[in-house]
Formats: sequence, structure tokens, C-alpha cells
Amino acid sequence: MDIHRYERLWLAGALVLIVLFIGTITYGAVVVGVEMVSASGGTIAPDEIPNDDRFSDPRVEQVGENEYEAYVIARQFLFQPRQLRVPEGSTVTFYVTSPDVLHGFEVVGTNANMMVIPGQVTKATVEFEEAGSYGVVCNEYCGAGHHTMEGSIEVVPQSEWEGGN
Amino acid sequence: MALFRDEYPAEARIIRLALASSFTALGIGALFGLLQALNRTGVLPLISPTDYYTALTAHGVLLALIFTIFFLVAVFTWAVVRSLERGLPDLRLAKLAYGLMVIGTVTTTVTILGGFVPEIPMSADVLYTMYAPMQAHPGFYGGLALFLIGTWVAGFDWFRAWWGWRNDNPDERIPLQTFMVLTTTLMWYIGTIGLAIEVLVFLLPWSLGIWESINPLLTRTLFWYFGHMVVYFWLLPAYLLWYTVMPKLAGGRLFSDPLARVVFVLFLLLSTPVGVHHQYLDPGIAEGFKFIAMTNTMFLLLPSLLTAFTVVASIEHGARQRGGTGYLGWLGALPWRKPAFTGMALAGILFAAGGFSGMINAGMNINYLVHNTIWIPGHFHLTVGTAVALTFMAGTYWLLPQLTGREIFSERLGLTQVVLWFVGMTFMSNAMHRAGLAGIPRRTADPTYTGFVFETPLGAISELRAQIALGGTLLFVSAMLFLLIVILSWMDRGQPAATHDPLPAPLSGAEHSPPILDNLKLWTGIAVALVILAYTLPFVAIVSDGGLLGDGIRASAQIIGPLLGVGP
Amino acid sequence: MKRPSPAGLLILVAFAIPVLIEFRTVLVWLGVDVPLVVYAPSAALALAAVVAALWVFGEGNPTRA
Repeated sequence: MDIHRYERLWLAGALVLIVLFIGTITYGAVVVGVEMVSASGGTIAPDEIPNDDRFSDPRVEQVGENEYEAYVIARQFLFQPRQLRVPEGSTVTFYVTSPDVLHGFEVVGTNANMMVIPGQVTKATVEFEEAGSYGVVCNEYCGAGHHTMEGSIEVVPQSEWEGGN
Repeated sequence: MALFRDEYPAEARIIRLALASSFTALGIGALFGLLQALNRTGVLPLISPTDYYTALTAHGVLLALIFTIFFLVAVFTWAVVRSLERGLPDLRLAKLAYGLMVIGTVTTTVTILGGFVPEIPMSADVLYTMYAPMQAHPGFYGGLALFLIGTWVAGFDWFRAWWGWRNDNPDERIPLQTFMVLTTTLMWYIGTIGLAIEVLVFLLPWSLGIWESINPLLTRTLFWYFGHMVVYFWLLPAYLLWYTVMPKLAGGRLFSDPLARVVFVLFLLLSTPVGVHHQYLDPGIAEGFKFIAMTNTMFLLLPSLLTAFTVVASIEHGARQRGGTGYLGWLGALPWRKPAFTGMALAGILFAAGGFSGMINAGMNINYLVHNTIWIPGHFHLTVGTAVALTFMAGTYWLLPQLTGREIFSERLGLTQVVLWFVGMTFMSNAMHRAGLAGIPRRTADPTYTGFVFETPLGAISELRAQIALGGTLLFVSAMLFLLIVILSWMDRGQPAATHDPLPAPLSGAEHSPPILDNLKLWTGIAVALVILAYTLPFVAIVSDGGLLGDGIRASAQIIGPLLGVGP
Repeated sequence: MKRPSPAGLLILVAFAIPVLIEFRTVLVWLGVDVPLVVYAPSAALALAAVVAALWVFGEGNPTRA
């Protein structure tokens, strides 16, 4: 097959670009350590939610020195708990599920973003390095009240944190 | 040679019908787009938030499925008949296909529009992606199934045309346009398996009450098995026009037939096994599968990058034939006054931008920043909304005269129309990308939340909202202008008669391309193998973890008004 | 330089729009924050001036494409 010289150059360049992109993503995954949401959260039937230790009482719980777990329910059209409080510098593992339809859980202005699917538990670990007030938005259409569905995360400065929830 | 309409009058008639259906969907879909743009930016809310989601469902279905696929049927039928130089073997199949598509469209559309009338217990506010457990009226799913079957019949018709030609021309290479149609159709058959299973095995029976529970991750994964391939079903007719018609419009010839075949084969191989890249943030799917989808997606850049080269090279060749000189000066020798050319050129430029934002989306761990924000519609309005839609409109300016026998009503108006689309899309898509980076969600009626504010590094959120409204309005005007021009051109308003406009042979023809490229069975086999590799394990995991029908996951019927025995 | 045809000028204006939109972003990177209410009319005026200059000072008739 007769390929023009310029086209061969372009083809080579395109392949280099593609490999570079794959490399960048791999770097982010392996070196920087950004993990993707996966199946590690397990499953939960909607009927089991009220009986589950985590989701019967949605809350933030301390599990280590600077480690917390947040149990969140996303439902039409609110998050439970509506406001989460965690201390600055903490690492929080979210466990999120839904009893009704698909939802999203996006911490506005950050890359903490995840899908919430009935039957599944979404597990995602987030590092809250800076104190501040963050909005949480449901970014997956969930019905007539979707545009009102919001929550918030208060990242409290260490000095003010007393282990309160 | 005679005009296509005179050479193949029966085929031309079906093609015109398909175009008419396509443009009707475009008009209605565009109207809803305008309402959405005005509503969600707060500029001029004309419909209630609940009606917003009805409008959004209609907009997505009518534009992303109906407008695009009817146009594809028109262009592909023309391309097959023209390149094989013979009529369709059995017009009844083509009519059956068209009929199924129309009945399906009307059924689905009626159920969607029922959402505007609360008194009627029929609606489908589930959006184009129709994710369970949200549930639409059974007619929504049934109509979609009929439409899909219609497309399968149309594809079969094109294969039959080719088989007939091959009998009479056993040693010849498949003509390029037919090759493009056949590879695209094979890609469609492979990729619609997921949608067919989702709708016929799960969603439709579930909406009729046959299943009481459903596995939302399973149906969502089946959708996205289909959902990335479908964007290439939209794109490849535009590529067909860029490869085989645009060089002629530029005054030249296609740079390379062999590379065009390679590109289409690559799409056949890679379009489906990337679907999981729409599910990077989903629970229930292991990171390994997401990584594989990511690498496959990055390689899917290759055929589009190759297309960029070939199209630009072909246009440059044309410009130099027209007397253009210099490193960049030849750009001035192109026929910018012709809306068919200019529309395609502008579409190609915005497609490049859309491709780059798509690379961001494909970047697995970068996707966290943009998933489900309004960046995503910003991206796809550049790709399907411009590369595809604007090319279709521009292509119509060239093709319609060949089908009706009358020239376009006004080239000046046509040029204004395509430029207006470009400008409107620039404003709207640019603002959508930036708003998405600020975290503003997509598919949301009026995202003004009480507990926090969105922040941008430049300017105010209100500016971005205004920019989206401005862009959307310009796009609507452009769409209406297009329809006006088409209607006036179709009617006899005293325009001159059209003359046959032949397409020249490529510079590097089929004789230079390795015969193995024409081995459709080989490429189909590899494509199927890649799909099996990419999807078997994820599906096995989803079903074993969550069950084929889920575990007590009930329907959330998106029906306004009294429920009639459907849903929880 | 030669005067561009009306179609050419139209395309020039169309291309200039995304460039001008994002030029404001570039200015921000350089530390210059221009409010939209100032920037939009200024950019429109600048573009109109360029078009007018090409039209008035361009040599000869535009070539028929």
C-alpha cells in the first residue's frame, strides 16, 4: 500500500500522541494513585438498606487517626445526611447507595465525583486537604425534582474539630 | 450521465422521504433545544421544570436518534445505489424499513410528548438514555424497538444490493462508498445487540409488568455497549460525505481510497469495545475493565486523526487545482461561497475541538472532573451537534438538487445558515465546557442551588449562562433557516434545473489498497472477538453480583398524573 | 493585500469569534481581568475595524470563486 510520506509522519505522530495519552492516564493511576470507583463497595438490595449498620443511620464515623467513613444515602431528591462534617486533613471513604433510582454525587469544584446505582454500594476514598465549605450536587437525572437535589460537606479546620458529627 | 433522480426515480423517492422525516425531527428537536437553553440559563423560562425533562427527552431522542439515523438511511441508500450503479434489488424492503422506522418514531414520540399533558397517564421522562429504574410508558420502548428493527432491515437491503452487484462483478473491489456503508452497517449490527437485549429482554417486559424487578447496572451497561458505537453510526455518514463528496466540492479528488478503507475498518473493530468509558464512575465494574476501555478508546483516536489528514490533504489538492498557491495561501482559493463546502469545513474545524474535549473525557481518571457536568453536552454538541449535524445540512445543499432536480433556493442564505450554526455553536459549546469545569451539572432544569455557589476562574457564572442562551438561540435560528431553505428549494420557486454532479475518482484508488481490506468476514470476526474480550467478564460480574433482574429494585415510573397500574 | 470576497470576510468573522472569546481567558492568565461589559463591545469594535480596513484598503475586486 502506497502511503504518502507526510501521511506516514502524521500516522506516526498520531500513534505517539495516543501512547502519550495512555501513559499520562497510567501515570495518574499508578504513580499519583488516583483510583477509579470499582466493584469493591459490594452490593446491597434496597430492602436491606434500613437493616444495614451503615445505612440505617447515615453518618460520618471515625475509624482511624485521620481516617473516616461516610455512609450516605442518595434518594429522590436529597442526600442523607444532607450535611457532612469532616476535619481538615482527613481521608474519608464514602459508601453511597440509593433505594430508588440512579443519582450522582459530585463535590462541586473538585474531582470527587461518583455514580450511585440502586443495588450497588459506591465506595470512594477522598482526601480533604483544605478546610472550607463544599456543595454536593446530584449530577445524574433522577426525576422531576433533580435540580433541587443538593447537599454539602463542611471541612472543618483542625482547631475547631471536636470529633462532632 | 443523468441526474440521480432521473436515473433511479423510485430510490430517489424513498431517499427524499427519509430526508423529510429526518428534517421534521430536526425541527421539533431544535425547538425543544431552544426552550431548554432559555430555561436552564434562567434567561427566559417558558416551561416548568418538570416539562423541561420532557423537552429534554424529546430533544435527545429526536435529534440524536431520529434526525441522524433517517439521514443516514437517506445518504447510505444514495451512496450504495450510486456507487454500485444499480437500483435496489427489492424496493419493498426499503419501504418496509422506512415504514418501521416511521411507526416506531411516532409511537415513541407520542409517549414522550404525553408528558406535557398531565391528564394523559402516558409519559417517558426518562431522557434519551432511559436508565432504569426510571420507567417510561411501554410504547416508548416498543417504538424504539420497531425503529431499531427498521434500521436492521435497511442494512440488510444494502447488503442485498451489494451481493447482487458482486455476482455480476466477482473480481472487483467493493466501490468505496458501498464499502463504507457495509462496514458501518456491520458495526451497527454488532453494537445494537446490547440495545436490543436491553429493550426487548428487560425494559419492555418490565414496563409491561412482566418483570417486577430489574438490575439497573446491567441495563445501563447494555445501553453503553450500544451507546458509544452509536456515535460512530452518526459520524460515519458524515465521514462518507467528507471523504467522497467534500474533495469534489473543493475542486479536487480524494487523497487516498486505501486509507479511507482502513479508517472504516478501524471503526468496525473498535467502536463497541470501548463502551465502558461512559461508566468510569460506576460502582460494580472493576477498574481493570475501565482501564481496558480507556486504552481501546485512545486507539479509537487513530481513525479520526487519519481522517483529518486525508480530508485536509484532499481539500488542499482541490484548492491547488483551483489555482491556490503558497503554504497557507491555498486556503483562499477554496469555494467558501458554497454552503455545501463551507458547512463541511466549519464542521470539521469544530470537530477537531470536540475531539480534543473527547480525549479529556476518555482519560479515565481525568473523567472525574467532567463526568455528568455540562462539559459533556459541550463536547457532544461539537461532535454530533456540529461535525454530524452541520455536515448533514451542508451535504443536503449538494445532494438535494440531485434528488429533486432543482437547485437550492439561495446559496447566500445557505452560507449564512451554516456560518450562523458555527457561531452559535462556538458560543454555546465554549460556555458549556467552562461551566462544566465549574461543576455545573448537565441534564438539570435550572441549576441554582441554595447552599453554595459555583465558581469560575474567569468572569461570572451569569456570563456563562447568558453565553449558552445566546448560542442556543443562534443555533435555533440557524436550524429554522435551514428548514426554510430546504422547503423553498424542494418546492419549485423558479430555481434553475439541477445538473448531474459526478464524483471524481480518488488520487490513489482502490487498486492500491490491499485486497484484504475488502475481507468483511475477517474484520467482522475480529470485531466480534474484541467485543467478547471487552464485555464478557464485566457482564458476568454484574449478573453474578446483582442478579439478572436485580434484587427487589422496583420501577420508578416517570409518569405525571394518575398511575395506571404501572410502577411501584 | 487583495480585498477578500464577502464570503471570505464572513468566514474571517466567524473564525475570529472563538479566538476573541478565548483571548479574554488568555488575558486572565497574564493577570489582566477585563469585565465582559467592557470586553465584548471592544472586541466587536476591533473586529469591525479589521473587516472595514480589509474592505476599504484591499486592492482590486474580489476574485469570483
